Amino acid sequence: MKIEFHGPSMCDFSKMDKNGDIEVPEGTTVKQFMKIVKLPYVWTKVFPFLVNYEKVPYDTVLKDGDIVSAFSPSGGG
Amino acid sequence: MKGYCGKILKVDLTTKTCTDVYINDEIYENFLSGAALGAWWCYRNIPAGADPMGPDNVLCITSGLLTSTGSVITGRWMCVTKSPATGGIGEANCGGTFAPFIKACGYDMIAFHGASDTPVYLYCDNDGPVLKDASHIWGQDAAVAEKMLVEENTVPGKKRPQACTIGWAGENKSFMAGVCNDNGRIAARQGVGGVMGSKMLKGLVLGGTRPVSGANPEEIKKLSKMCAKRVNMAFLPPQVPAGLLNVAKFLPELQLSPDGIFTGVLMGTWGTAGASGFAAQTGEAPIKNWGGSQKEDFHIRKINKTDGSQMLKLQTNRYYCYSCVYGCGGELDISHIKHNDQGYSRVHKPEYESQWDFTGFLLSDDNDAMLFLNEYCNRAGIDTISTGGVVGMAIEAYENGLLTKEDVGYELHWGDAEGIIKLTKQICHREGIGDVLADGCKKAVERLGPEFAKYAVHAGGTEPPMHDSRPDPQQATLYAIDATPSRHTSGGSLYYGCMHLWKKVTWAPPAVLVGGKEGEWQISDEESLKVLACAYFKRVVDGAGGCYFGFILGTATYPMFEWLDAATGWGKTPDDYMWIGRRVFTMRHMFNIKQGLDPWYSRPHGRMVGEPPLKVGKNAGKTVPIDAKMMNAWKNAGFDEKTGMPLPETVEALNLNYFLEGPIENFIKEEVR
Repeated sequence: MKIEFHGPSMCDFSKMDKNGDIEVPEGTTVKQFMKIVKLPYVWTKVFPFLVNYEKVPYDTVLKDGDIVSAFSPSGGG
Repeated sequence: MKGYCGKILKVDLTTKTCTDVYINDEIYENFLSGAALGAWWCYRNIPAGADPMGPDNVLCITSGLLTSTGSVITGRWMCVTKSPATGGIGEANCGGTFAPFIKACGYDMIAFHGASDTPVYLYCDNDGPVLKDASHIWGQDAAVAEKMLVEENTVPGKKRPQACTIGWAGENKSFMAGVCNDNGRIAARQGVGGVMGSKMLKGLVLGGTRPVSGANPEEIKKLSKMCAKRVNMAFLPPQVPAGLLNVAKFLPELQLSPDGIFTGVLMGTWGTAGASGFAAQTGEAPIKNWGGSQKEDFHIRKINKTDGSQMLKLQTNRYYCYSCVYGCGGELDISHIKHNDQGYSRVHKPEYESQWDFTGFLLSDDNDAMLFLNEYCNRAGIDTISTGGVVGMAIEAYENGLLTKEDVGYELHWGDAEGIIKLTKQICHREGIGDVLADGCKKAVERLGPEFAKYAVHAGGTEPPMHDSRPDPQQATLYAIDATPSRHTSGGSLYYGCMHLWKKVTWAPPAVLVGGKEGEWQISDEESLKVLACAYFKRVVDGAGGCYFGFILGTATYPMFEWLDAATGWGKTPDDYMWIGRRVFTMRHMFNIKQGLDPWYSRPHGRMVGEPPLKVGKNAGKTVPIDAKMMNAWKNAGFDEKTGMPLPETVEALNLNYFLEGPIENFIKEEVR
């Protein structure tokens, strides 16, 4: 299944396709996904971390098409 | 109702007459409203070669199509005119609470023609418009004038009106003057306030209460709830210091597609200035008039003295603009700070642009001076971006012997807060050397001599904002090819990544990794299409009255296309709306060409594109191939790639000959009031 991922640039994006999706096995949890993309646990505790724009427990099982968003610094003004 | 009123108010300040002008649906369906409607009106009504400060110029003050329909983050109002700074289309927009009052008076836009010979202001409510004498407030700063106008037009038991005004800079016809509302918020850029001053128009007071609705209010509401819910999920605990974001400097530079929802984290917590620390350390913030580097010239300790966390210590309350769910605004108590010889107390929290312009850009770590200058400029009604730019030029000229103490009247050095304050005040009042500088860098070079040009950083007469274009070729290209050059709120690489336009617009290329940013320096149709997607979408957002901070949320969270369709019931696709954006983009260029500008006029100053490249810091060695970038973007826009002129077949495909040259009776009906 495919998960849309937005994260900071220290993550591992090598498995990401051109559309911004990452293929993961069925049944992958949020915690397992974080390991796949090498998203540090502490980053998700300090900064906002959302699945489908909701805060969810780390053992939540992801579904095809879910959007995982980890904070990435960006500015404007 | 389709979100718009279908009517504008034309005010002739020379004859003191007001006319209701009914606009055909065809215009809205092909241009939207807001800034686009203003640009169309300017094209139709400003003769070629008109003096921007003369009675032939027209000043449009307009609201957006979505404003007041129930959509969120769509409360901007806009000024559109012929800019004295560039000689082309001039445009500025602002938030606060003023925008809905334009439509509440029954108008999408108020267009001022001619010029008064005495100070006046316009009052308008449900009973219609009336011009009133403004002699008693001429000479007041923008905030005081606004307060006086609102108080004298408030009727007990009726809704309190809202006003916008010009300050001293507008009265002095500065090319850097803006138009203010909400006690110092400002539609700042490209001298729109100077044009207002040239018409002797001190302000507008609007007290209408007419309702506005869209075709499908339930759908608008549903979309707005979704947007608000997502934004509200993405906030940081307030105890997190802004300095923590400095971690960004350790992150690798990648072409990213971040979730724009997290811009809300920064905006809501610190306001826009929360970004300054990492902006400086990642090469995003220009240093020392674009000639220095953070590494060499402005230590992180200095940045931390002036960042968003310092402002939070003085913040008394946050506030939201009309229909906003971010809340990046805030009020600070600065009554105790040094330099405050005006006795200012509650003031607006400085935006990132103002904050960085008066600190790192001029190498000053005096936070109090920055806070004071921000408020002083707001009340003077002057653009802090351009003011910082021209002060930077003057300091560098002084440090290199082109200006002397005799010329200036005092010493002027990098980081010298006292000198920066003195010079800024002189610019606001056109006193001494300030008179020479009050019209921006380009005009200053004409007055002082060509040897100053190397320090006069601008594109087409507009000083660039505090977003360095050397690490972002998309940004550099947008600075150059927008008909209102040097505008940071049009897009750029990071913002394109946030917008996710490719998920809705069939021709927009994905901005997704994988890999470094090297590809952004290449000349390719794909890179140009990203730039043009930003530019066209910006035209749509400005037609709707949307906020830049909304559009970088991403089109999934900020459903601009869906809102527009719910408001109008037109049944258009995102591609259709982007086609409208392209039409407006092209029309604005045609306005500039009609006014005699060569499209190459907005080629950015060498420093903005790394000519020569910096030797130290994050942007060392970076040069944007700007000529090739401009040419490729023009080609993809359907313009001649060498001259930048829209090709006849492009003009034809966009039906612009019909809209711009066809009989005006086809599009409007006038009723003198």
